[in-house]
Amino acid sequence: MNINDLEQAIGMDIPTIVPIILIVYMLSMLVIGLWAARKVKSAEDWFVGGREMGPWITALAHGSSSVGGGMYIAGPQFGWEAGASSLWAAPGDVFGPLLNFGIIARRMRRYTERTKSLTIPEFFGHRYYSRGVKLLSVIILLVAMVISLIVEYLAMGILLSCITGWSFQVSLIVGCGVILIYTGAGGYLAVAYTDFIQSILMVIGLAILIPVALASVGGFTGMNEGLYAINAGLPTMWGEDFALKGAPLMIAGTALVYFVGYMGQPHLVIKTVAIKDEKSIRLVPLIGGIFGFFLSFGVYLLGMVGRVAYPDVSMLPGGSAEYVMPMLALTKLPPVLAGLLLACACSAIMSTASALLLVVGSSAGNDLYHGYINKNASEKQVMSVTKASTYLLGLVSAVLCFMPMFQMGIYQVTWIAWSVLSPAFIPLIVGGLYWKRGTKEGAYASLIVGSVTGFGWYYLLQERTQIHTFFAALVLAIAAYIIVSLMTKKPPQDVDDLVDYAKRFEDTGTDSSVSAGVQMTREQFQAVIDVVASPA
Amino acid sequence: MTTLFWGFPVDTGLFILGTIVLALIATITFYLGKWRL
Repeated sequence: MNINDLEQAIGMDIPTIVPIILIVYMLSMLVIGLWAARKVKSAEDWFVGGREMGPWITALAHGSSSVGGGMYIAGPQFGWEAGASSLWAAPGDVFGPLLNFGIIARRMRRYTERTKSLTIPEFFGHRYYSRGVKLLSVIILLVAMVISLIVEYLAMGILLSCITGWSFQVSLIVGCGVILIYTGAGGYLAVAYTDFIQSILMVIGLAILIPVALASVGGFTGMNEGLYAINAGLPTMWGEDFALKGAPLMIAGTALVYFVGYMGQPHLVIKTVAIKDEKSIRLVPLIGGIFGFFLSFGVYLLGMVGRVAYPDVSMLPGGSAEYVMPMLALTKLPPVLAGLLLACACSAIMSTASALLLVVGSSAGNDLYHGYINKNASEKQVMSVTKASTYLLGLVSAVLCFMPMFQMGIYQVTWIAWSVLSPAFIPLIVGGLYWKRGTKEGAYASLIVGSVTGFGWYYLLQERTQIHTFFAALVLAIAAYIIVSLMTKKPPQDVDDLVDYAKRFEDTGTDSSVSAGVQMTREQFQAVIDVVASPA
Repeated sequence: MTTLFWGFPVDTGLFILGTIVLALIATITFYLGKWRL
């Protein structure tokens, strides 16, 4: 696929204004990121924005970080292929913020603030009184996040090369460079501010394209009639040829991936650590839910419109449904708006990539370097290593993009990355905050069973059993966590106290009743871990 | 094809409306502090 294919498919040259708008947009993001870098005064600022982020910034950053290249590019692709049955995945983005901020945020914020944890693996290390659990979670996280990062880079390379006419390699390097510079320099603040702007642009872009594209096929009624004419199952929730009617566990998996999956994604859960206060937490699900509804239903609807406009895949550039959104933008909108909309697609990719990069860099610098290599490192040293790791892992991911094993469909790879990570992490996060009996052995079991099933089931058993990978991995990981926890020695009293502390509400005034013994420094807590972890 | 609104079949229409109604109830009651975990 190159610019000639695209120009041939749309039947005209790409207007010059389109790449100009894109380049101006990318430079703007760079400037914002560098401006945010000037506000970073401490490690806590870099990692979690000083825990001072308000509800609007948090909600939109949470939403746009989850809705990435996998959504903005592959969402319409999924809508094109599956018709209305793609909508099974949509409520996940509506309820995801509610799950993260209604179930996890308050307790996670209190727990991590008390234990001075800055990353999700660090929380695991404290909650499961085990450096081994922390290390294993960092390894799983790094692998899954790097795969997700590769997906975003690939999407960026494809989009930029289509529009600018640059080679795929140059496009990928330019896109990665911009993301790396603003994330590496500004950390969480840069990601939160650029996400905020990018999410607004994403909404504006869809608000323009959806009505125009719908009008071109005769509105919602025309779209549904058009889909029905292609295949009677397409406008229904059962998909082409009603194939999903006999596969309830495939539906459950599709719905759950982006539903409960939110609670196992560290680049999203970290936003619950960074939020300012409990009052802000209450507003996030409402803002995030409206944003998620509009965006998730929007991208799938766009794909459905695209199916009516281009019923045969050969009508699309490169014979791939991944190009439905750029095709609709370039053929249905005036050039300036098309340029803006494609900049919005870049927004989606950039915001997700930068959020992933932040987690990858934080895990390498804070969790691996500070946790295992140099425990006595100063804050300055940790920051230097974190930034260097962010750049290094970002570059490594960019190089990995060129490997043949990652040249498969974007939607599939994103799906695998979520299935490897979320089922393994969800029991540790939710169980860790709500169930005092969860032990480090249970945590090990969940991490291993969840990640191995999340990867292996897809290739070996999904097709044969008609049970969705995510569903299988989540059920097995939860079972492993509960069974192994019940079979092993219960956690130490200090962990019990911390879970109790996290449970209390700030506005009930019960804070003062917390025993002084629970309030520990990192060093004191490490001493507890060392005692518990040492052989009897 | 029996439709519910705007040409959406009954199942798809109910799914979309159900999502909107449930999401509004859940998020607004959470915002108002009617429930918390």
